[in-house]
Amino acid sequence: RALLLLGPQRPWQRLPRHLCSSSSSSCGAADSPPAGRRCRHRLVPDAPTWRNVADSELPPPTAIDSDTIALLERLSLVQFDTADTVRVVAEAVRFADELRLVHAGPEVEPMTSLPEAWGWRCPLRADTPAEQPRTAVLSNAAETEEHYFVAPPGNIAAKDSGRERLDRLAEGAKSKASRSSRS
Amino acid sequence: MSGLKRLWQGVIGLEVHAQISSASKLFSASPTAFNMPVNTQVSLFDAAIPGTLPVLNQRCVELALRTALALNCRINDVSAFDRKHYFYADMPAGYQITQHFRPLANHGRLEFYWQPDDNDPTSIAESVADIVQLQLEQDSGRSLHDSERQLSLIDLNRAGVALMELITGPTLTCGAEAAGFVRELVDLLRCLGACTGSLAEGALRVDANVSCRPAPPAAGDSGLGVRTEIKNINSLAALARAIDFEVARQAAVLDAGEEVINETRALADDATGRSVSMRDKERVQDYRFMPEPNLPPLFPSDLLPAASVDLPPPDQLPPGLRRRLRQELGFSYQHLASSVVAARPLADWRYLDAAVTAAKLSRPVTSPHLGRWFVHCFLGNCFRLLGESAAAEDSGISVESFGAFLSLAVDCAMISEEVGERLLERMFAQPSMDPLAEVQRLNWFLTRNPTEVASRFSQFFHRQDIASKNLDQLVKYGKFKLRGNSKKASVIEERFLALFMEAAEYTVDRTVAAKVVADILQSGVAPPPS
Repeated sequence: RALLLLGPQRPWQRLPRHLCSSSSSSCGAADSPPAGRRCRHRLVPDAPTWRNVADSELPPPTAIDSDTIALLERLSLVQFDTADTVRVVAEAVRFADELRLVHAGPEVEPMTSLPEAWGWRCPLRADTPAEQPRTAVLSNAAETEEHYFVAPPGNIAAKDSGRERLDRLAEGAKSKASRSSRS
Repeated sequence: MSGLKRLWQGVIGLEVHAQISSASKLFSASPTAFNMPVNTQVSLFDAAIPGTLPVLNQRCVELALRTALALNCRINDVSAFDRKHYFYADMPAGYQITQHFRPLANHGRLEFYWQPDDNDPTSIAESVADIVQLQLEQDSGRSLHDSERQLSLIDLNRAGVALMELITGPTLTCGAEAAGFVRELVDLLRCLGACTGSLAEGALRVDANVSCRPAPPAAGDSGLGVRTEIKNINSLAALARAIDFEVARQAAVLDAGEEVINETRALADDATGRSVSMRDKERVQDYRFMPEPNLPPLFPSDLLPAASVDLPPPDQLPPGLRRRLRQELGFSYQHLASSVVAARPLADWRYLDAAVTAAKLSRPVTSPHLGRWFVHCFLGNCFRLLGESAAAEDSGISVESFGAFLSLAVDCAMISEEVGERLLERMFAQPSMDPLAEVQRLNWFLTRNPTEVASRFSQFFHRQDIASKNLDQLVKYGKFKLRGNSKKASVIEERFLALFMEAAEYTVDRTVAAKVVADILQSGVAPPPS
């Protein structure tokens, strides 16, 4: 949940001060404040406001098919090598689907970063070049050749398509199950 | 396009990446000098070493804003940076910092001239290109591919250099028009000092998006066809040919009833413009654009004063200057498009203006030769005799003298082209000379009277050496004429014409002389009346 910052106050000024003043009641550890007196900031709710989201409220689940797997592998360079990975991804997507239930309204501009809300402008640098350390930059590379970085060849089309990959995963799962049942 | 069932027209949009002429890179303090040793201009940020952050270069923003102002763009109040994610070895961070959602400026325009017909020197057309978007972005490094050893060598000197990306709307129609646009854009960028504009050095890169639609478009159908993108274009001529080749290829595909595949193509052959498909059609690219969290938004209005320092007014920038030269002084395309137009100091054009006024030529000047006399002959002599950095005034020839020359050569056409060139050379040698007096003294006026020309030719023809040296030619001419072989006969006529013109020091009108020569030669071989 994003904090709404109103007015010129700094964020740390919004932290709740110690709850009660000189009055006798000790409300430090209690969950609910003494009757008739708010001890927390007005934006902090009195009771936890979590609620469980039912599956029926969410839009239909996204299908993770072979083309999506191929795309995800290419975009993330993460290898989907077990059937479990596909299940984990599907669950993660389902969890993120809850964000679709939040409706902030069209007049609320999405906040990209905190400094933007404080009115920070992009800091600018004078156009003065500085000499750069070649040895430092190359020092992490496992392999260099005549001061070039050495990399695997570029522009190679992926050999497997997603369909083959899913089939192999299914086969792998089956053979693993049969092996474990036999042993 | 012949042999097709219907007429198709090309629809072309360009994406131009111009390297901004700043001393350091866009987000780091690495130098940007050209052709330096491998990996000597790479900072820790450029190599994507963790623990580094981008800091925006003020000069790059100023130069991009300057370009936006010169292109009449609407400059946005707030502009922000975004990340464009894809994996490639020459981009160590795995993403490129660009401006996708909120660029620096939108909705600009660039007016330019181009030549629709290569073979016709008088053909010229005027177009306006829309600049849809102008944004800042990072350049990637360079990779050298070694297919034998299955590896790539990466040089990050160029990684992080500031690029200005200009995207045009799909309003261009053919290769020549696209080349005309890029030529004008390069001149403008050089004039502003924003970019060196060298396509060969890679300071300016152009990608073309090409599609086809029926010509004329069906009523109510403003849709565009499937487009392909052409990359790897290194020169203006290659750009024009590549676009024309692709338009022809798509027209043939659509005419056969098939569909054009949306793909990226690489230019394979500069001479013919042939391109080949680069990527697999099944590949889908998702760049996952997201706002760059390390850079707060930019407010371009803060930098507008610095960007507009010494910004010339529109009629002194190359597009405006060319419009004036065309509309007022009648320059033909060849001289209008010359890079000389943008490279010369404005004082030269003021000199020409003053000379045209002194010559009392009526504006707009209708003769297409003014461009040739000033750009080719006058400035050519300046360059040759006085050096590269000499201005028109350094010749010592006063505005009135040059004006007198122009009234002889352009308005009244009292002297031929060859005489004019020689006269101009004499004026450069002796700047205080009065051209009219000189022409009178040397009797260099053009003779147009057919009788006079005929008598001069007869004198020339009957000189001893002419007749004797060319006796065999005359005999051949007679034979060709009697057989009715007019083509070979006219070749011989032209030969005599050339000899005559040279002997007469080009003081006779060429068309009149040609007719006279033909008449006299023919009269010599006509069969005698029976």
